[in-house]
This record gives sequence, structure tokens and C-alpha cells, in this order.
Amino acid sequence: MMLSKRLKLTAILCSILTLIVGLSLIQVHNYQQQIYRQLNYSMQLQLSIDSLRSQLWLYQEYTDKQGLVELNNRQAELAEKLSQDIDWDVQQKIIIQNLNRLNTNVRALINTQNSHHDTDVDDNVTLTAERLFKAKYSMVIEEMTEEMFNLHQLSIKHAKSKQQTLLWLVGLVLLVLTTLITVWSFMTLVRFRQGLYSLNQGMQALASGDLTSRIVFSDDDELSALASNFNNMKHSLTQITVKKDSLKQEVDRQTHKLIEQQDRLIFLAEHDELTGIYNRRAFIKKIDSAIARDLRSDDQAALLFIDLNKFKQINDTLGHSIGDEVIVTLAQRLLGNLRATDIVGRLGGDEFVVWLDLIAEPIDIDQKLTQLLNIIKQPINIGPHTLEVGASIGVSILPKHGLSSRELISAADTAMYQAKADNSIEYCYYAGDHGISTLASS
Amino acid sequence: MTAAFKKCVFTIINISLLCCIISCDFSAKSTSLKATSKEPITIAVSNTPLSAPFFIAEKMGFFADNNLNVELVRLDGGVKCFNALINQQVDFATASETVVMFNSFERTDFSVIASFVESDNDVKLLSLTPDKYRQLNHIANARIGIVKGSASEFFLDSLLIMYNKAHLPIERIYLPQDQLIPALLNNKVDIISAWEPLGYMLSEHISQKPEIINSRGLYHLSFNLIGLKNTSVNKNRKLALLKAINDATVYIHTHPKQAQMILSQALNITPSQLQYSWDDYTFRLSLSNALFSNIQTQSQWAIDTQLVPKENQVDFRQVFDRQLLETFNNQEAGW
Repeated sequence: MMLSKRLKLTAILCSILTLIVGLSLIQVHNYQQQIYRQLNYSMQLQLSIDSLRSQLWLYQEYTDKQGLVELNNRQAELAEKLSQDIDWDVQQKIIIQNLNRLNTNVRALINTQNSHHDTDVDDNVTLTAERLFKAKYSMVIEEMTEEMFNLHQLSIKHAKSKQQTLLWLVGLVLLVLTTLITVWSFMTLVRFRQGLYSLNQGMQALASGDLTSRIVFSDDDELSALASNFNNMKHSLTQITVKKDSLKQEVDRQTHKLIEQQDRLIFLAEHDELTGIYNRRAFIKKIDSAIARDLRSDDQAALLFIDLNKFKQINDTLGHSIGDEVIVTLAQRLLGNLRATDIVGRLGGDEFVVWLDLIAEPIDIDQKLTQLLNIIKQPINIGPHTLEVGASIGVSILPKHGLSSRELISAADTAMYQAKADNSIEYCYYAGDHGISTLASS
Repeated sequence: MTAAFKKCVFTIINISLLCCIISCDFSAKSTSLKATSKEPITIAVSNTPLSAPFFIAEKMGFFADNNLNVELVRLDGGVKCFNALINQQVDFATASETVVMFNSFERTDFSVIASFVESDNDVKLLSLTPDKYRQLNHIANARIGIVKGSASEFFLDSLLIMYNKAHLPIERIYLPQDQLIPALLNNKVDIISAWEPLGYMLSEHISQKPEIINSRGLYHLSFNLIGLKNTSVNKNRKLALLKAINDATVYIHTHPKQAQMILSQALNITPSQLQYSWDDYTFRLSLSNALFSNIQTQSQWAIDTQLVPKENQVDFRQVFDRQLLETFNNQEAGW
């Protein structure tokens, strides 16, 4: 049940209780008024009867007109009182009727006594009559007193019973209603506490980062609605958090991909597409760094310009794909036979360049040249073909033949052309414009 | 869940209320069972509407309600009832104060327990030609039929004294009760002094009311419950008997029509006969000086008219058991 309905019902119950208390008080007041009225009236009746009694006694003593007038007045007074309509019940009404009858009896006795006042009779008979009347009056008054006692007793009994009934009834109704209101209020309190406790627990859980738990509720009141909304809110929050995480992962993935692509692009920009070794630009950039370093430390280095022999023939006869494979194989062989500090690059076609860093002695260059020529000349097996190529190598030395990559490459290129032009040599050191400094025989 | 709890609360309240009612009912029943006594009490009652409380109590079960097993012995007139009591044929008897008065001169082994009904208009002077005697002076030389030594004679004498006509010459013709009306009808008497239902019976013969004067209030007839002083019925049972009579009286007050119907059936009389004098009756339990005074006045008359020996002085206090009714009244008032 909705809390507002609960509170409304509590308010209605309280209103009913207030109404009942009010009505009961009014009823109690009415009952009391009725009882007071009856008791007052009984008292007045008692007074009238006493007054009649004393007047009757006086009338017996002084049987004259004045006494009779007084007696008549008293009697009329009593009759008038008896005719008043008070809220009597059946039994009380019967008592009032009897009192009326007795009052009439008094009247009859007075009338009878008066009927012969002027008659001459002897004293003895008068005395007997007076005695008889006296006894009769006394009897009637005695009965009146007795009836008054009964009236009092009955009035008190009724008042008692009425008050008791009212007390029980009101008490019972109040007890039932107050119990009901108390139980109902406690139920509402318990519901409030439970609801607020659940909500508080839920919020504490959320505050501590728990997004999975939910508030359990079974009612359909406002607190349950609140709990339900809270659960929905938590659900939405969970979804938002999940989205954020996955978004972050996606961003990371994409970033990684971009980096990879970037690396690939850099690689592609710096390396020869076919062989994977440095291309001209990257090679120049690399040897520029090496030159700067070597110049700082006064080290020597050599640049080899390698141009393959008999390659064009292979290319023309076996096709470009075989030619490409030959180029790749040679690039791998060169790469595999150089130091970590050495650099190899392909300038295009069948032209390779090698940077031999940190050369201590010129002899080291020769040995290296020999080694490289040997591996170039080793047969290459591609499919059914066993191919062989040779090479012409031009060599330039840092700092002897130049201080820049351009000068060194140019010098080595020149030396390579010289070596190629002379079929007897396989490599040639740059010797300036005036000739070749060193020659190697084939 | 809330609805179920609410239902549960209401059920608990209902059950507790039911328990209260059942326990109250049970305790009431157990109280009533406590004093159950099946030893019968016999009461000689006169076949007259004046004995109404007894017939009503029997019919409505008020005796049983008060744990009494009462057997009513119905006799014609209070004298026979009183004799049955004296002969120990019954435990209690109902009789008029006149019977009590006359018997008090002979014995004091009985006591009046309570007066339960009164009439201020039971005995009347009746005539077939009531108009002739509207002035009481006109009864001079009239033949008046009376039952000797009874309320009939006492009534006539007190009436003559009160109207100051005792000196008038009248002819008293003493007759048994059942001869009064035939004597009147056969013109053997002019007037009869008689109690109900003779007034009603006579009214059936003439078109007007047979009373020669309105004598209401001049004579009070009472019917009383009388028991022997030495009786096997204990005080509690006597109190229970008074309670049953009182219950019947309350019933007569609160259900007058039903009460008359029961009485009409019990006495086998027509409702019109019952109605004729019903309003003259005052049913209530009492034992006041009014009755004492009435009996004393009658005893004085009995002495004066030499119906009893003059030398016998009776102390009527000996035959009044006021204590029992006082105890009963106190119990009823809760004192």
C-alpha cells in the first residue's frame, strides 16, 4: 500500500477516534443531564410529598377552610409536578402513575371527609371517622414514600446501568480503535524503516562502487518506487560505465593500429619495398648520422657502391620475378654478413650500398670486400634455376674521399664505374679525378 | 502482505471479543447453575388476577430462572389458601390483609413476607339500579348483601363511617360470596358490598356501571405472600422466590399486553373481564407501614364489631417479617 494512503488511513482513523470521543462525551453529558434532571425531579417530588404530608397533619389538627385551601394547593402542586414529562422509562412511568393514583386517593379522602362537615353527628362517631381518615392518610403517604424510594432506587439503578453500558461501549470502541491505530502506525513505521534502510544500503553500496547489486523490494509504495528508480538508475550507470570502458579499449586498439600503421609507413618510407633493407633516402639519412658521429670521434668508415653483373641477363631471360628474387636473396646475404653497426641499402635496380662503420685499418676493408664478393657470387637456387651473379664495387673512405654522404656516394659510384670498366678488377677505391688508388683483381 | 496482516489483526480482535462474550455467558451460566435446587416449593394461590405475578412467573420461567422448582396450588380465595398453609399442605400461601388480620387473632406461627399487589378499587357497593343511591343518604333502609366478617363488611362499615352515615338504618343481609349476585338479581337485596369479579359480572347484566358511588381510594385491598415461621424453605430460596415475583412484576410493567394474555389463559377468563379491573391493580413488592396500618385499622373494626374477642390484643409486628424483603431490596440495590 502507498505510504500516502497509509498516512491518509491513519488520519481517517484518528478522525474517527476523535469523532467517537467527541460523540461519547456529548452522550455522557446528555446522560448526566438526564440523570440530574431525574434526580432533581425526584427531589422535588419528595419535597412536595413531604409538604403534603405536613399539610395533611395540620389539616387533621385544624380542619378548617384555610387548612383545606392549603391542602388543595399542595395537592395541586404535587399533581402538577407528577404531570411533568421527564424522560422516564416504563417502570419509572408506572411509579409516577401510582403516585398519581395515590394523590387521587388523597383527593378522594379529602372530598369524603369534607362531605359531612356540616352534618350534626355525635362526637364518638366523628372521632372514629377522624381516626379512620388519619389512618387512611397515613397509609397513602406511607405508600407514596415507598414509591418515592422505589423511584430513587430505580433511577439510580438505571443511571448506573446506563453509565456502565456507555462506559463499556465507549471503552471497547476506543480500545479497538486505538489498538487498530497503534498497530497500523507501527506497521507504517516498520515499512518506513525497512524502506529507508534498504535505500540507504543501496546508496552505500553504490558509493562504494558496487554497480551490480540491486535493492530488493516487495511492496508497491513510494519507497518501493524510489528503490525501483534507484535500481534503474544503477542499471543505466552500469551500462554507461561499460560503454566508457569499451570505448577506451577501442580507442587504445585504434591508437595501437595507427601506431602500427605509422611504424609501417615509416618502415615503408625508409626501406626498400622489395628487399626490406634501407632505401636511398633512409640510407643517406642513416650514414649522415654515422658520418657526424665518426667525424666527432675521428673514426674512419667506408662506403661500398655495389652494382651487380649479369643481372640484366637474368632479368631479361627469366623474367622480373626471378630477378626480384635474386635481388632479395642478395640483400639477405649482405644483411647477414655485416656487423650491427654496418648499414646496407638498395639504391634501385641492381645497385646496393654498404656503409662499413668504424674501420680501423684499410686491410679490414679489403677482407670485407672479399667476403662480400664471395657471398654475392655464391649460386642462387630459385626453383629449377641455379643462378650466379657477380658484382663491381666502388669504395670511398671517410674522411679521405669526402665528408658528406653525397660526396662519399658520388666517389664510390665513380669508383664502381671504374671497376666495372675494367674487367680485371672487381672493386676499386676512389682515387679522385686522377685515377684509381687501389685495385683488386678478379 | 499488508492486507493479510490487517485481516489478521481484525481476526484477533474478533476472536478476543468472542472469547469475552463466551466467558461472560459461561460465568453467568455457571452462577445460575450454582444454586440449582430441585426440591419443589408449593404455593397456594388464589384464582384471581391479583395472583398475576405467580402465574406470569410460572409461565415465563422466572421461578426456574431463579433455580426454584415451584408448584402452584390453585384454590378459590385467600381463606382456603391460608388454611392450606396452616395445614402444612403448602409452603406458602397468598391471601388478602383481611385474612391475615383475622388469623392473627388466633395464631402467630405465620408471617407476612411481602405484599405483591394492591388495589384501591376492588371492593364496591353494587346495585342493579345504581342511580337510585348516588346520594349515600338514600341507602337508608336499603337491604345490603354482605359477606360476614370479610372485606365486604369492613368496606361497608368504613364507607359509612367516612361518609358519616353510620347512623343510617340499613338492613344487613349476610350471604355467602356466591349468593350475592343471585340475591341481587332475585331482589332479595338492593345493594351488595362485593369484590371483583362480581362488579364485572353484574356489569354484564345492566347497561351501566353497577357502582353506586365512586369509592376509589377509600379502601385498599392487598394480596400478600405468607409463609410459616417454622418452614423447611431456607432464606436463600425465599429470597429467590421474591426475586422471581419481582421479575414477574417487572414483566407485567414492561409487557402489559402479553402479561394480560398469559393471565387470561391461566385463569380462563375473558380479556374484557381482566381489563375491567386491571388498571386498579398496582403490582409491586412492599411491606410498609401502610399495610400495617391497614391491618390495624381492620383489626380495630373487627374488635368494634365484635367479630373477634375484645380481650385478644394482637401485636401485628409478630406476623410481619420485614427483614427478608429488606434484605432483598438491599440486594437489588446492590448495597
